[in-house]
Amino acid sequence: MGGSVIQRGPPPFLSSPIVIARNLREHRHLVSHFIRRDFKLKYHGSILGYGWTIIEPLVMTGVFYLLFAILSTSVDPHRPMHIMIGFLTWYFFNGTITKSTSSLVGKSGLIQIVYFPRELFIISIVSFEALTLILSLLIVIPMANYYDLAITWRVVYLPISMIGIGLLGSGIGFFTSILQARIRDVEHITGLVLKTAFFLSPAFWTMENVQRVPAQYLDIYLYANPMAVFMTMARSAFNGHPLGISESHIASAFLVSIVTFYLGSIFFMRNERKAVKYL
Amino acid sequence: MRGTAIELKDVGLDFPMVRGSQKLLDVLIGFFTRRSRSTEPSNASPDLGASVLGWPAVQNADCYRVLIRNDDIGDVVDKIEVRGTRYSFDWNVREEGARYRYRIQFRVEPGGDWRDTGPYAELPPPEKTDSKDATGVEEVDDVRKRHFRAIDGISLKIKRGEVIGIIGENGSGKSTLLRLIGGVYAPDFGEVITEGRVTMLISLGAGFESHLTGRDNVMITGSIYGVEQKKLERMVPDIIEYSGINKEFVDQPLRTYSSGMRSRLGFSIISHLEPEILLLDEIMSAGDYDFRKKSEKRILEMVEGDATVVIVSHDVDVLKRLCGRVFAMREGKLVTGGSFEEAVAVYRS
Repeated sequence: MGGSVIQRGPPPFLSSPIVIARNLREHRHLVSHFIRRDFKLKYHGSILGYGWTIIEPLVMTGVFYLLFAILSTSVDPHRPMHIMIGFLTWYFFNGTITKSTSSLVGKSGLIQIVYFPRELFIISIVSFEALTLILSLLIVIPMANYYDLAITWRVVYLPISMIGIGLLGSGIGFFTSILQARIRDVEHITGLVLKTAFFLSPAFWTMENVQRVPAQYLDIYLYANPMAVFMTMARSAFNGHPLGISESHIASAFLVSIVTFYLGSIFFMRNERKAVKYL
Repeated sequence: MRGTAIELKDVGLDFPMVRGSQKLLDVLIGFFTRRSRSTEPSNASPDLGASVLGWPAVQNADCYRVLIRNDDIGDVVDKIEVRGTRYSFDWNVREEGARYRYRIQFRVEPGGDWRDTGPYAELPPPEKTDSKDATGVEEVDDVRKRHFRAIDGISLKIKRGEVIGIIGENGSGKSTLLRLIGGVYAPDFGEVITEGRVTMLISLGAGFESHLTGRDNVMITGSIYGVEQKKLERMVPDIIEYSGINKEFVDQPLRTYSSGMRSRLGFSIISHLEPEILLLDEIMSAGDYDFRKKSEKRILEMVEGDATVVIVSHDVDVLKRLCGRVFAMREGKLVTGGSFEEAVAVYRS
């Protein structure tokens, strides 16, 4: 056996996510191999292996905790945990976009010698990053235990926010991967934008820290940055606190994510053939 | 053995050409120094190319040129050196009503004497061209976008079980055609229809990761080639045995392998595929003498089996032995009709 039946009609338009889902179902083993390969490659030859998934956010949490202890007057008893969750969710978002951007260009050797649906690269990247997030969130459980935080129904916020981040990240990744094949500046641009966005998102601070900001600006901010909503939701899943974010903000954040993913998938499916010629 | 396995319907593929002014700095400099091109009146005459195909081929010829002679004044009016397989002659300099004839010359070494290949002949009428200029480069937007037509209107029907050979010089579009059939590229115009599972073999060890073990690489590469998971799991011991790689190496990272071992493993995966449509870029073989024999034999078995095969090769003997039909390719076109002798003659000319 071997080989794949190649059926490539005209590129899909409105049905792009459906086509992607169908390809994913058909090639699910390939995707699982890609994910396993990425995990093996991540930890090959390292002694601590999985430990690094936790050490890096731990160190960053320590640094920012100290920084806050010095600079800030507000008292947040759960700050280390909040910073940790903020970092980990940001890593999920950041990793998905960064790796997607270089995915087509980085795998050009493979792309040119065998055909399989190229959107599988993006799908396997976002799945890999989501699994990494789940594995590293394990460290938050003992933290929550330490703070005597009980599990509430708000735990469901965690998978929901992860879906939101995944859709947003892979949606952007669909765009940047194609653009990167065309213009290699895109990698630098996304890197820069993501660095800026890191400080503008509540990764090492929380929405409670910015209560001094007038309400109308916070309102605009929460519409403009869906990540702020998702990160706050992820935190709420662990500390059980109410969100403090209105329903319309939550709805807007998910709408932005879904629309980004939808448009991104259309863009990817329609331009992937042209992009391959630039590899 | 019935039906059509591969059908190409007037297929074409353009490649983008990267132009010089890609860098921002260059663009800025160009913006201030270059006069706007589009506003200049275009009085440049199209330089129509004529093909060299069908010319008498001269052994050891280094360079050809075409003399254009105006019979009315009885003088040579133009000497055009041939580049590649085309020469270009500006038809607009031709006087109305004058009779023109041409003769082809060649020389053996640069700077040597020009010798005639034959007497003067009637100059053929200009080729019909659309928007393309002599070099096959289509100008879309004269500053930024330029396309190179890599595959130029190929139509071909390949029956199930047929073995087709394609021969041509480097850059004639053979491998691109193979990738087009294999799905790596989608045609810009026309249609490629394949019926059956397609396996394209362009290089050994596709997708190998040097930090993963041999076994992991077999699994990943197998699934990249579209082998089903369960089949693959059953195949792995066979693949490893066939490759002849030591048991203790199988679970070692690929970077510990010698290059011969790598290509043996790569070949071993390929040899366990059972494609319905096989696309081959040269007859592959790998490893030392024994394995090379074994691998060549296996590829030939695959070719001679039930599969529909397209082989791209420079090896005339291999094509003669294996292929039912052989086509010569030049500048993205199939220039012969399928006979082996004709294709080889064009290839060698």
